[in-house]
Amino acid sequence: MLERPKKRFGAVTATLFGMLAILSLAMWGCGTSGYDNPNAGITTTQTPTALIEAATLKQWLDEGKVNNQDPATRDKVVVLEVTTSAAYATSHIPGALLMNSSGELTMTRMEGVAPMTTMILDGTTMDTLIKRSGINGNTTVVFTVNKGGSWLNIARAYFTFRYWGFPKERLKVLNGGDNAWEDAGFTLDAVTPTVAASTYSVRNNAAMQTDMRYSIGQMIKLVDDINLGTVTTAATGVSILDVRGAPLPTTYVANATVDDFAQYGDAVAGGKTTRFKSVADLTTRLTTMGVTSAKSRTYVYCVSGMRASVPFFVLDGVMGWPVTMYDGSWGQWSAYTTANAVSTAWRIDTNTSGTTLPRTTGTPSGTLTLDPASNFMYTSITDPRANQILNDDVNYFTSGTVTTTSSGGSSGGSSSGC
Amino acid sequence: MKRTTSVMLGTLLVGTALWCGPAFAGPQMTFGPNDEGMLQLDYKGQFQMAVRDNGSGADQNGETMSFNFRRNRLALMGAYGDMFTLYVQTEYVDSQNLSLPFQVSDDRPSKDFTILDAALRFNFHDSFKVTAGKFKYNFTRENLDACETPLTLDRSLFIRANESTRDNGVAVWGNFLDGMFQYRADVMEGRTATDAAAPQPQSSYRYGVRGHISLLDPEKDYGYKGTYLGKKKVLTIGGAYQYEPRVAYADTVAKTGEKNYHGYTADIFFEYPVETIGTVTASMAYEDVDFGDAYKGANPDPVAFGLNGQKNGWYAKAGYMLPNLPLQFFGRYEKWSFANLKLNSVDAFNQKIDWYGMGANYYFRDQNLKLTFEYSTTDFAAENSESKDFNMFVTALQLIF
Repeated sequence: MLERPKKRFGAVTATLFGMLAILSLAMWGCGTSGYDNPNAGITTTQTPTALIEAATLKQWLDEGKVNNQDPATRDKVVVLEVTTSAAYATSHIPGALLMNSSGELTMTRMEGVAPMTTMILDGTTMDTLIKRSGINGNTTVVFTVNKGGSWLNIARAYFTFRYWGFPKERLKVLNGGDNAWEDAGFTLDAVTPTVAASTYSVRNNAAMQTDMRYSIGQMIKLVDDINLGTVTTAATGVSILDVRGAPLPTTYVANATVDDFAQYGDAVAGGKTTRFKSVADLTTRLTTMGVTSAKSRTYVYCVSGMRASVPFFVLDGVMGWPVTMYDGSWGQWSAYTTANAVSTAWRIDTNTSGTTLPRTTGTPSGTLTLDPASNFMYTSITDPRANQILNDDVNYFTSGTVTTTSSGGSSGGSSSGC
Repeated sequence: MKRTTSVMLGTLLVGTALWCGPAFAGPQMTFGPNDEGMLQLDYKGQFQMAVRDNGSGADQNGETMSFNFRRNRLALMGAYGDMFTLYVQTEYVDSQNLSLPFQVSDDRPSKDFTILDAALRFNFHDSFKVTAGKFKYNFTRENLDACETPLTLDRSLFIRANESTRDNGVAVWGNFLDGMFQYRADVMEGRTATDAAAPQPQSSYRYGVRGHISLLDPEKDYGYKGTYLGKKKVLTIGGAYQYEPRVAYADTVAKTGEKNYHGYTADIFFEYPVETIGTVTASMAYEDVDFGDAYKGANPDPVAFGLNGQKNGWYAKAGYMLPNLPLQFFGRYEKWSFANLKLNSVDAFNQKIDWYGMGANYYFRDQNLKLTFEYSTTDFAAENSESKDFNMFVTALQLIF
């Protein structure tokens, strides 16, 4: 099969050089055809942090982005006023829609060995809210609150949407809420806008942020791991922040640093909504509490997950540092006691097994309504079945169904919660 | 004499049936009153040691190492009479900590055997053959290359079209003018029925045509090879087109923006052996995959973007095999543009990749026992958390038994 070299070498060489010439031309002269970036014109995702000022929202309103009904737009804005229906009816930012603080901030759900009234929204409730508000995957959601309303509401709403998989660049918090809007010279109205419902679901998001929320079992394990030395609270380790606020508590989750959520904001005279501090001031506050960008993760809790939403938003939305909310917070933690007949493994008024280190600093005295079946069945804090909310939510996210272990109906998260 | 002829004919047909390698090594059996029937069983394995300079650890910047089976297959080939052949191939998909082109995983994606090929083939005439079942569809030359005979470590990393390498369907093909021209036409399953996560307008068949012209020795088989190891002189130019109507929505949530799929490719392959000098091999191909810009939609169907979605690009390969030593050096370059190379959750519109690789094959027993080394660099035009430049070195041992 091999050719005689002298006979065919010239032809082969010519062919080879021809091929090489074509290849070289292709490599150096020909590229590939490029594609358009359909996101190139999007501006609402380009803010430095998730905290925006009234002027920015006004610009988006003037640009026609608020409740834009064009199905092809990739830069729609939906403003959610996180308040009561009565307060919403009185006045709100033009185009804003209601996210009802009575029923759409927290709800009663089963977790561990007892139900809690202040837990994250389930997928069904989220989808109802999203669809009703016309939110889709190309929507930037701005959270605000009525005049004089609590800044906790908007921070909690931010946490809820983040947990359910909305990307950070698509979520904004209006600093100071409706008060800031009005103080900037813009008018409020009482018109309830009519928007076309969307067919979007949290299930259409890329992924849930399940690491942004901890259950009681996960939190106890974290404390145990710190006590056992397998997780460190050193400069590059984790932090636990108790942000229940004044008066500063003396009984708290072991290894936690006691902080005050109010230190992350500036009160505004006249009963107006509190504003978040500047990035520089927030950095200083966090550094004082031992939280820096070097931390692998910071875990925050308060009483019911409302006040803790403030440092959650600060860490995730402003600083961009890893943070997890212990959603059950002190209301749940303090009730898992011997006095309440919680099964042994779940008790937080004991030492971490194999150590002399307590799970709780001080003497907790919360109350709960035990679920006897769960209390009997789940003999380990790491029993995956006892992580009911995570299980239900992941199941909903992946399959659209609920096997449900949720308990009871909605429970209003009050604007003065925690 | 009659029996001998039947056996020879059966052997010939089984040999023709081998799309993926020479593989006459496996055990054979004949059956039937006149030994018209024949079965052969082959094992085909490609075992790899891969080292990559990122992909694991904190922020996926740590070095990643893996042993895995790139391919791990049992093939059953059969023939009966002078018209019918059968090709069935199973594959065990190994846990590939590092898999091509740039995936890193610590899970075990599939531990089950799958039926990779199940093709019933009827050879009515050299110019009219019919294949039905699950087999490689007729689109790119690279996909039709035998899996065990690539010039480089593996075939092009990015030229794969939207469906997997195989599909269910029926193909008609044949050769004219003593193999100078070859035509192919197929009707394949295409996208399967709709699913809740990504509803599609309808489930249609996918239609494809392909042709080539061979100016030196013919390439008459259904499968091509990445190198003939200097046993043929080949200059083949080919092209193909694929179409599937109403394949995806630009907005799967609102169920609007129905899009069709189109793909076309052109390729050229050259191999020429020269005594005392060696064998030179070169090839290149261009491909364009189009989903009607569905990626621009509000909630585009994932099938329309990503690694196998809307894209265009090309590769070029070259090799040189020594004349008196079964050692072959090779190099490869690929250049691709992707409409949106969203690998997980990060959009990467108009992402471009430059890929470079070089290495060598040493053939202990032709393709039946081969050792390959390849060093490669993957360069993303715009790096992000899911797409980071990396270098990789792979050593692969191939055994066909």
